[in-house]
Amino acid sequence: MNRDLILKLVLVIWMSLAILGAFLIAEPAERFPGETSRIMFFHVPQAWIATLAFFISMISSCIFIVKRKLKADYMAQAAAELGLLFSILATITGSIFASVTWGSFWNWDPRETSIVILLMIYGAYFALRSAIPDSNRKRIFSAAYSILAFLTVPFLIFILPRITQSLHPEDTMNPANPGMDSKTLAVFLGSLIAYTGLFVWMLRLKYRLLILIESSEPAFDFFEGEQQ
Amino acid sequence: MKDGLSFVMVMIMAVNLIIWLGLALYLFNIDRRMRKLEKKNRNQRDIP
Repeated sequence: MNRDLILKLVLVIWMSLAILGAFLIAEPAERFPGETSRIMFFHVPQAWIATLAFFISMISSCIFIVKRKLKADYMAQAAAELGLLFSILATITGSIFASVTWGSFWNWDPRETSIVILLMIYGAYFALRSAIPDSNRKRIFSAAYSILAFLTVPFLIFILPRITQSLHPEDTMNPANPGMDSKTLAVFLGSLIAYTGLFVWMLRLKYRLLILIESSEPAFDFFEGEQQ
Repeated sequence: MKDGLSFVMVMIMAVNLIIWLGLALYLFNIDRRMRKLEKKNRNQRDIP
């Protein structure tokens, strides 16, 4: 068995244990109704992965702008796609939590509003990529856009929800919170590691897929109707 | 099992596990298929 396969099998077991731990080991937080706080083991890692993915997309875009290496563009695209996916997952899990604790799935809370803006910003990234027929221009414009888009991420995720009144829990959901007992903290960190591993696996797959698409067939120019 | 974990929570946990194992299986399958395509691609490039 090669090392790659062993790591993937370890991830499968690790994530399964994290899921079991989230329900069987961690205690529900006292300040939240019923068992709702358990969603933290899924929602927070998803939000963390989304931020990490957008950061990787920005760094790869910088590398592409400076060195013009195609692989950096593939990495930027792959990371942005996964960032968008995990943002959507974080929004869905957040809405489930909101429906139980705040009474409805959507409340236009600052946190919810900021995630919608973020989804729109990165949705526009893919609209931009698909709107420019010329491959080189597409790569340069989307790299520049990705860098600019990331500038909004710290503001929308970390600053805006904190400077406004928000229903979103902060202290109980904060991993650095000393109030979190050791078992819960261990499960939470285990879940973060598991999600990071899953993200790396998916990122590598998407990156390899983009390279494969590019190398196996010449790009078809939709507007010109001929092979480039 | 922890005391007080309701039937609904056990079901949610089971669904989570099934989704995760299904996703893992899907990723393993994609990985395997992609490896084959990469190998095929490499072989095609090696042909003079």
